[in-house]
Amino acid sequence: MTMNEQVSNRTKNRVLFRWILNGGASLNYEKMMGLSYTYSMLPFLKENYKDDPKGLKESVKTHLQFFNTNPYLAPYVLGMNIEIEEQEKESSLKTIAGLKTGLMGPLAGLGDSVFVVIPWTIFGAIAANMALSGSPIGIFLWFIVTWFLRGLGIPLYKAGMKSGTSLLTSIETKMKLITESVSILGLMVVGGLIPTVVKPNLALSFKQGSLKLTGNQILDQIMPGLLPAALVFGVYYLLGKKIKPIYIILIIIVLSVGLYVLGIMK
Amino acid sequence: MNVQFWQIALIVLYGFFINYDKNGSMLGTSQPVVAGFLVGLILGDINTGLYIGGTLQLMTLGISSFGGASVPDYQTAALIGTYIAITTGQKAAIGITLAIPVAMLMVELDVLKWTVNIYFQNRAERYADEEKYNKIELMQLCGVFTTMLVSGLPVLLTVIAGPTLVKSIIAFIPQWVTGGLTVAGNLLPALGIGLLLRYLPVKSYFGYLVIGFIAAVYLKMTILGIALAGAAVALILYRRNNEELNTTQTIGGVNDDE
Repeated sequence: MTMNEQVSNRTKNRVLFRWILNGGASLNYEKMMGLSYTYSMLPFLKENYKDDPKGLKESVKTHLQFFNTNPYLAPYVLGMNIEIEEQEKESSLKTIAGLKTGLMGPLAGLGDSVFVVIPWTIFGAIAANMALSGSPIGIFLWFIVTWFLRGLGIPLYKAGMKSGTSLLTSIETKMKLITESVSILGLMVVGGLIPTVVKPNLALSFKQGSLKLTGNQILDQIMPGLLPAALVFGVYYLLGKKIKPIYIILIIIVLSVGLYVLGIMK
Repeated sequence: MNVQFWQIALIVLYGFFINYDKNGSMLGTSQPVVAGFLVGLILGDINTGLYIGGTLQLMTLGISSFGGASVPDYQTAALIGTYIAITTGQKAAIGITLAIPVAMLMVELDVLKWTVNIYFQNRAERYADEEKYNKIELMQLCGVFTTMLVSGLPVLLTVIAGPTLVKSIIAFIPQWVTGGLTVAGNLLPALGIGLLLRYLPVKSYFGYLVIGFIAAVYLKMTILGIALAGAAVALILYRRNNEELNTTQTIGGVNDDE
């Protein structure tokens, strides 16, 4: 085996570049990101197995297997994979397949909440609220955040190459802490979002003598944000009963049309 | 309004790009509010675009697709809704009304894409057996192309069918549909929030949810303000838990930190 033979940095950068451009863009039900992963790895594989067509074939077939994780964090897996496969060639394929399967679950869990759901909610809400008052500034803010998170792919890729497998366990505990802290941030923002973005608008009003109150005012006197909180709780409950979001959308639309026709909401 | 050719060309290009950006490059252009803004910018009516995009964004807050679940595609819908509202000179509410069914129908196209791409995956596996690696790269590009078609085709059809057809459809929309959907627009954000809460540890940290709620309702804080306060709390807890972790790990060892 030619242990000292190095794959050029340019080729390694191409792997990351390919992933960032096309990572999740060929998803399929059977192997999810398997094809994208192989596509990204190919420049490296061709150079790594230059004189070993059998090894190349073996490796490509390994990488075509099922792979699905958070696209923001996948560079870490790619980096690790490249480092190990460059050293050990095809003898490492079993290890790599195991690593990929072992990593994709935790990384997806972390990445989906910390890199997608929470930032999208916070900056999506800010951008949307500013847009409704006619300002695109929130959108630019969101762009900056998105590009920053995307840009983290570069240090993650490098970290993957450096760590091989050694750092993995310590990173995993750190990740748990980060996820927990970010979840708390998320919960506080979501608590604030409930009365800000859910805005049931009652059309009813009550008159007694000279006193006239709209339905909204009466509800606000009981507790502001009562109706939004009740609605969110209802949806949360239904989701817990494994009712699909698309059905909940339909339920809400039908309900809304009914309430509008009956003159209860506007 | 009179739409110039360059405007149509840009809209169609964006139509093909938007679903690619959602799955591939992820530069952030595939969000309803961004789609509304960009289409408004191209057509010279930013305010309408921001309004439609912003409304649809709030309706979908927290709804994102993981692990192959197809969710309504509000970003392409915002693109189409904004284009129609501006080019036919209709109110923004009409654009939103049209966008909702479009978003629902897009789910079918997305499922179709996931299915068709299995074929490219299988072809790629065969090419691996035959050692034709360049063909594997071609299969990837085919998969990327179907992803682009998912949003590109509906946008192209909208532009071709043109405002005239849409105008006659709009004439048929009764008042109770637009009115009802306006109500729905105010209620639908509850779904996104409910979905989000399913992701977050509500049961263990319910108190923080209440704090955020109170900050908004009684203290009238903005979302950015609450987010900053939340970041501060998260930071404090992170440091404390980190220290706890370090002390438990170094039990029995030397701790010369303090």
